[in-house]
Amino acid sequence: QLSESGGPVSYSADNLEYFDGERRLLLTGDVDIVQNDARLRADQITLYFSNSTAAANQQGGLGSGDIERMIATGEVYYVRPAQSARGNRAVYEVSQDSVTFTGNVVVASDENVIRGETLVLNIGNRRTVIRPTPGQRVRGVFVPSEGQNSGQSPQ
Amino acid sequence: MTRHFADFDWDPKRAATLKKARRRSRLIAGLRRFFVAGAGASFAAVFVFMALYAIQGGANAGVYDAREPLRMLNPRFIGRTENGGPYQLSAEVAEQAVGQNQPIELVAPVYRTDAGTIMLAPRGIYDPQAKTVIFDGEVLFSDAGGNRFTTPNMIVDLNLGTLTGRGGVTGAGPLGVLQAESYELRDSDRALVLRGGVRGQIPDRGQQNGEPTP
Repeated sequence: QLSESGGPVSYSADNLEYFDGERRLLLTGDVDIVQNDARLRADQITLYFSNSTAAANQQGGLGSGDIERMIATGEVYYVRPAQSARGNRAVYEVSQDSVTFTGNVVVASDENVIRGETLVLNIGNRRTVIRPTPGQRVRGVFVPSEGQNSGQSPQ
Repeated sequence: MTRHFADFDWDPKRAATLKKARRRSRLIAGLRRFFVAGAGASFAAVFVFMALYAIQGGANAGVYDAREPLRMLNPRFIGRTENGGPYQLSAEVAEQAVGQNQPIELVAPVYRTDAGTIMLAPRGIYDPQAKTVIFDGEVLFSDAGGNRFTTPNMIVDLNLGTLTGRGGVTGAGPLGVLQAESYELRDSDRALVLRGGVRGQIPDRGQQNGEPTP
C-alpha cells in the first residue's frame, strides 16, 4: 500500500491502457495516484496486478487482482504527511512494502532535506535509507526545531 | 291387324325419333368439341399466365425495389474479425433503405464476441461498405471479466474487432471504477485503452467487487 493505512487507490491520468494478458495497467500523462494520505505523481506509472481475481473469474476477461508493483518514471514525487521524496524513477514493491527512488533523489521531512542517488523508503515503519552516487557522499540540511540542541547526527 | 296399325303409326314416330337422335348426336359432338377446346384453352391459359407472371414478376421486383425499404425481423449475422475472433450481430429489426450498399438501420442491436464481450443499445447502423456498426443511444457493454461500461456512442470495426466509444465512458468491475472521454477495446477484447481525463479507483484488497468505498 502507498499508505500504511491502506484503502482504495484512486488515480487520474490523460490515458490508460490495460493489457489483460500481462495484468499491466499503464497510466500516462500527468499521472496522480492517491491512497488515503499518500500520493504518488509522475509522467507515467505502470501498475502490475497479481492473478488472484483473474484466477477467480476464470473467464479471462479484463479483470485485475491485487496491485503487486508500481513503476513510476519521469518527475516522480511521493508525498505523505510530514515527508516527501522526489526522484527520476521509483519502484514500489508491495511484497517489501517499500518504495525505491533512483536518480537525483531529494527527501524532505518538515524542514530537513537530504540529497542522494538512491532512496529506499519503507512505508510500514517509515524507515528511510539514502545512498549516495558511488564516490560521493550523502548531503543534507537539518533545521533544529526551537528549544532542541543541534547535536543530533544525521542517519 | 295390330301389327299393320303399328307399322302405319310407327313410321312418322321413327322419323321423329331418328331426327331427335341425330340432333342429340350433333349436340353431343358439339359439346365434346367444346369441352375439348375448353380444356385446351385452360391449359394454354395456365401456361400463358405462368409466363406472364414470370415476366411481370421480374418487372414487379424492380417496382418493389424502387418503392419500399428492405426489412428483416430478428436478423442474425455471424462473422469473424481479421485476427480470427468470431462475433455475432443480431437485432430485433433491420431495415435497409432503397439503393445499392445503403446503411442498414438496426433496432435493439446486440454484439457478442467469443471472448465474452456483450454490447447492446437501442439503435444501431451497420455500414456494409466500411464493415462498421455504430451503436447509439444508451450503449451498455460488459466483458468476460465482469467490467460493465456505459457510453452514449460506440463504433464496432468488424474487420479489426475493435470497439471505440466516444462521448464519455463510465464503468465498474474488477478493474475498479473507471471514467474517461473515449474507450477502445482491441486485441480480441484483451486490451483496454481509455483516453482523455481518465479517472479511476482500484478497490482495496478487502473490497474486490469493484464497489467504490463510500
